[in-house]
Amino acid sequence: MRDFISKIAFLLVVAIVWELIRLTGRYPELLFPGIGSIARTFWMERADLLDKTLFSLRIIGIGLLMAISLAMLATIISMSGKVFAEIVSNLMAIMHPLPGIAILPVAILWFGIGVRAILFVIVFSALWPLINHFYTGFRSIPVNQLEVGKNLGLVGWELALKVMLPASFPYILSGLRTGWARAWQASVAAELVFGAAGGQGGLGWHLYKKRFMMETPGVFAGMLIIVLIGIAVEYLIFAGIENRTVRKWKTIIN
Amino acid sequence: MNNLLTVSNITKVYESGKRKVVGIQDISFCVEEGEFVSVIGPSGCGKSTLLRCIAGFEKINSGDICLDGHKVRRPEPSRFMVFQGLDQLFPWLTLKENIIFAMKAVDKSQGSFEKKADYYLELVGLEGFGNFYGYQLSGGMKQRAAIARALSVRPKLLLMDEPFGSLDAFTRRAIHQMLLNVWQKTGVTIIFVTHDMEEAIDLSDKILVFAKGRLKGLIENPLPRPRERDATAYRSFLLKLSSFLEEETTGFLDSEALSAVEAKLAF
Repeated sequence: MRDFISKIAFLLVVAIVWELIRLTGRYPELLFPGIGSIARTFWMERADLLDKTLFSLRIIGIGLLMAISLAMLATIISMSGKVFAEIVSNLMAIMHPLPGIAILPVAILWFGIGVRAILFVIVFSALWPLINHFYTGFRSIPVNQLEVGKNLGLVGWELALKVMLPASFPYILSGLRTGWARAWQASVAAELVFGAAGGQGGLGWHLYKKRFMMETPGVFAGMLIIVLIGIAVEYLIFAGIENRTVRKWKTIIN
Repeated sequence: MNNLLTVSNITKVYESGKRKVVGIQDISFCVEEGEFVSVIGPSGCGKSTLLRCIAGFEKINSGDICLDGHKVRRPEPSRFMVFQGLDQLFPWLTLKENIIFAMKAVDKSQGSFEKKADYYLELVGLEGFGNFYGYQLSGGMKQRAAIARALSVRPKLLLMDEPFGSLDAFTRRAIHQMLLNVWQKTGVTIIFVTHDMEEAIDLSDKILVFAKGRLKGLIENPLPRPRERDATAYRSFLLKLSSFLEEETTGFLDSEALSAVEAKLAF
């Protein structure tokens, strides 16, 4: 919570510096709107922003869940034999360096312009870092703990879920953080490139529209909500999970 | 007494690339029910390899290991291992939860696990520590907890791989006494790997001496319990054991041990 407050305080300092720069009057209001007009826009368009935010969160949530399930599956499969491990690591070598947004042209060709294409990009963007973290985590388990699990007669899925998953939780958690960030980036980037189909869109679409209309305060209001959600998710969700798990177990330092 | 474990002519070879390193070679011996057997020898002599083969963690290249007439093929709760490392408790569970986890994994029925877990904690002298996590415990307490968890699955054979190797001498004395009490109370059969001769004499009925991957001798411990380290009979038996070990391990260079260990790591 103290961390959360310090982040808010930091944002306030940024706002003050921003205002001071604006007060010098060297930049036109159209490109460098004041905090006041950004806040006003934020408040006036709150219904629209909420709508777009919920749309984004829903699609990111679905995409992330799909990516997490696929990553878990791929990791467990790759742990179950040398051949599978090689297939997954080869796939990783090819796919991981490819920016998620670079897959968008293919996604549009396959799925058309719409939610499904965005979803595809989100899953693709989050999947590889997730597999990378999960796989590293599963291979970093203390050997003794793994062997105790085996000694108890646990094999396959049971061993993976009851022993390997909690034993590698520090890695799982950092994987989830990266996956979440990648999913956000992908959803905004994809909508920025082609907007949205049928007027249905998320925050990327919001930024796209506001930029198109030259409504600069609206652009900043959209960015502001993305930043706020990022902070909220980190400090209310991830930190919460961390405090109840790896911090409580002292499997990470601090 | 019934014969519990029969090890006949087992050999374990580690391969790393083109190199083959013999872990243990042509080992045969028997362990009777309720016995406390120590395995002693210098580092890299294959004593841990032997224990890991009996546990079923390593596949043997030839020979047979039978527990109660059943051939050992894979790890099973009936042969339960306690390791040297202080990280064998599951850190995401409390002590009690660790024990309940083990009992539930082995016994799928809905029993009174809570009460049984308390019993095993008390058995190793950890009553009142059930709600502690591993990081809150000292090394000795962690090993006690690991023993409690191992006993909770009611193994026929308790395999201990230098379980007190990371503990200081004071903690060790107390934990030895606890282990002997537990052994007498539960009647469990124990194979205990160590490189500490006094530890082997204090604890066991029989001592298997290992060197260079081979079983060099099986020595019956003639001393009555409880064993006092300053008794004359104790000193002379220790002398006998150490001279036997020295004789059998002469020419056993550290570099051989090192290459064996390297091969295992590479493997």
